[in-house]
Amino acid sequence: MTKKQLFETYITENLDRIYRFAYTYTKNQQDAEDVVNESVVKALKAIDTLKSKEYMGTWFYRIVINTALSHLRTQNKIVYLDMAEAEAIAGKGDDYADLSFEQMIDILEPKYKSIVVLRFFEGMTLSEIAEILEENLNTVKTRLYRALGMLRIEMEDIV
Amino acid sequence: MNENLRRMKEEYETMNASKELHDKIADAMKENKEERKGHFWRRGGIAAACLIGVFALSLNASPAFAASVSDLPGMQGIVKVLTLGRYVVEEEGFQADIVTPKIEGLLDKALEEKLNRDFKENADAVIAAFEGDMKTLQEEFPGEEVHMGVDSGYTVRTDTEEYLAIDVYILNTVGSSSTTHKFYTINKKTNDLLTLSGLFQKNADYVGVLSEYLKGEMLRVNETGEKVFWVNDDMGKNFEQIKKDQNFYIDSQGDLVICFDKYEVAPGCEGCPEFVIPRDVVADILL
Repeated sequence: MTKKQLFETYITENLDRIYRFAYTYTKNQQDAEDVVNESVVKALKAIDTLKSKEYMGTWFYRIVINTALSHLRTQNKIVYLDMAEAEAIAGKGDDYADLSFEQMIDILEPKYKSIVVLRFFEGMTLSEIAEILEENLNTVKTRLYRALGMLRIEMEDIV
Repeated sequence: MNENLRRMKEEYETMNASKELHDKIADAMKENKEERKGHFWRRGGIAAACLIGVFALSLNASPAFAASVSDLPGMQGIVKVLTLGRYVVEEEGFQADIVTPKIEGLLDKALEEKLNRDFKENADAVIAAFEGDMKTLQEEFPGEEVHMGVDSGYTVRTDTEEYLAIDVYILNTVGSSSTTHKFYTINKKTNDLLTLSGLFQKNADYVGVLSEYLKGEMLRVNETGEKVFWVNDDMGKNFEQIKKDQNFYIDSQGDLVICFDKYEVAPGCEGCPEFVIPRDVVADILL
């Protein structure tokens, strides 16, 4: 199979996952769909930059992230809550125990929530995430801990 | 895993791509195959090329001139559009290709100068926006991979004895603040820059007539399931009517074509929709 065919198969099989991931950034269906569509179009154009099929996932997630971020920038929709507001939304006091996914993506900035999603919901390893984000492993770790800190999730729960 | 994370994960996993998205992606992949066979304009739509300005030039300065031009072999192409300048950037994640068009051969030299000045100003604005965005991105994300690109140029859409219609487009490969909308119509009889309203009788409700037709057409296409237009839906964005100076051009059949920008009436994946207006729709109100 050519790289292009492999890519098409990959997309067909993973569209739900990709959509969810885009939604993490855009927080609404319409924009998430636009981001997915634009990412696929870009990826098809740039298929030659994919070095080998092993990197398909990493390569495409990176495109989705870049597309989502520029989408947010265009729409000037990056509005994050300060911690006081976040607490008000998340519930009284310091109990974050029933935080929903929707609330979580409202509270955290993209560079934090993407790591939470990839690590816990997509089950990727930290080094895979580091590769996608093109950050070094320690940066990813630090961000993950900060994210969990903001969500008041105990470290020992996740190690 | 932490109980809260587990619940979030469950919530996360219930979100699936809609059937529409599955279909659109399948279409995009199909389009990509067809593109290689040379469907340039369909690619333009799908790859989200955006028209920023479309203008039509009516070349019949006078009926006598139109007749004399069409009588002379080789004279039809006397008005030309050329490439004046080109700005190209290719570096780590940033790409730009911005072409400045130049029009030559118009009888009205003042008009020609005005158009060329506009082209130049547009291109300069796009370049400035690109450079600004590039600087911002480099400062915000130092050392990180970014993708940003802008292509701007022109194509001649119609070149007949009567009309010359040119697209001046900007294609933003990512979002940026550089999207501007400009639209020109020149009627050489009056030597004036007109808006869409100039095609119609004074006081005619062309906005109403065209919008009515477009709404019906959008609903019809929605029914077929081939495309999605935002019309009669409750998602917020909803096509009500065209702008008084909506983008348009005249095609080689002499028909009016109404153009929308990306996101104006449909999701981004539909590109920049265009509608050819049948003559009987506007027959009663045309000048």
